[in-house]
Amino acid sequence: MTNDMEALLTLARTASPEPADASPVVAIIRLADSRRSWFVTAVRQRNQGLEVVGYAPGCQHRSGGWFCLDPRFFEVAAAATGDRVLVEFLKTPVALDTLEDESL
Amino acid sequence: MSPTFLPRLDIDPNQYLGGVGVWGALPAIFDTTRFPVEHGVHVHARRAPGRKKDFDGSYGEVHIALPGGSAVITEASATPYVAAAVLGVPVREISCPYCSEQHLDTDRFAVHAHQRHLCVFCGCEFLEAERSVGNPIVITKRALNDASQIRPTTPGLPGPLRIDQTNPALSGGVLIWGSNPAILWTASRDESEGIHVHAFQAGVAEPVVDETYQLVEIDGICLDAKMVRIFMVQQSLPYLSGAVLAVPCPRCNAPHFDDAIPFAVTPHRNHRCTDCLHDFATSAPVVANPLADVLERLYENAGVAGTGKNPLAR
Repeated sequence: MTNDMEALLTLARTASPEPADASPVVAIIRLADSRRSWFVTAVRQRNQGLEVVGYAPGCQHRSGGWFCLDPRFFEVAAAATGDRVLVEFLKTPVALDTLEDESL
Repeated sequence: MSPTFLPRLDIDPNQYLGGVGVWGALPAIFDTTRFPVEHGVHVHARRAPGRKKDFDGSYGEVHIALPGGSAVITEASATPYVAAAVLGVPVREISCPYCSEQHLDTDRFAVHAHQRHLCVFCGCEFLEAERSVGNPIVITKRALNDASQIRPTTPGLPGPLRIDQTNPALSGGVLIWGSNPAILWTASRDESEGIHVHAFQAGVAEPVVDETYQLVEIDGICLDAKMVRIFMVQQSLPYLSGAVLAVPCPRCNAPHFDDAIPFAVTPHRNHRCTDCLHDFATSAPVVANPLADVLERLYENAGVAGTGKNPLAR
């Protein structure tokens, strides 16, 4: 796991509210080449381990929506496409609907 | 299984200055997932450019506010429009001269430009001056200054994306589409062209892969983007069911590809090999697309990998 991903996981909290449109984004996970993005609103500690929670934009074949993923998912996605994971931390959490969504 | 219910969307493009994109959903050409088959009309709409999309989903019908009225885009009109647009068949607004209803050409008539039309509302036949296909979607496009059927595109990611169906990271299956132009596109940026891929890890709804690539290889077999795009259209046309086959030239064995209208959508017996120019005949009228054979092999591999063809797919 990259240092950035490990740093992201330090944000984990045991109690975090379910994501909603008003949830502030604390970090953006991107794939370096494709620029595919996941807007992270929380990292949660659960019985089975950690979960990254947030919003992922859709494409023309799939609706955008909320996700709740094992942190290893992003490394798997990068490896499957020969890409790299980048994590951008937002010093001040930002409302989801003001963030740049680079998908079509 | 009946398709999932999709809601209705009412949208005023003037409220979404970041751009509105509307696509007709054509099913994937390769599907080893267990998800319901895609259908409906997919819409992206942003109030401001680059911001999160306010609408990002699929709908059964989309009501679009236009100056002085509104227009409806349904799956029934979107799918034939996409088929015609991909093949470059001229699409026009045609109304019945007897009852004034808008004329919609579907299935075979959606991809063969013709002059004589039969109105489904009043049952009258009428002649048009030009050979074309009727689809009321062009009214909406014209009203929103998006009249062109073909727009500039940007190439997808170069790739090649190499997929090994035995990769445990892709154990939830793979979906492949050809890129197809949006029916309606008011954003200032261009769409990507190539082969669109979704690939899943078993039990995870978020796709591991969700991108458009110029080159895609599955189990060492390279997919040709044009064959994928044409096959996607051929598969959407009920009258071509069972007629699209892999046909090798009997003399040089080169895979024959009917890559343009009319042959890409007209089953025929007589073929000319583009490699050795040999004229040959098939025993039954067919449309040649080498992808038919490629997909069969890839589904066999998928079976070995433990996924197999989606039972819900065509």
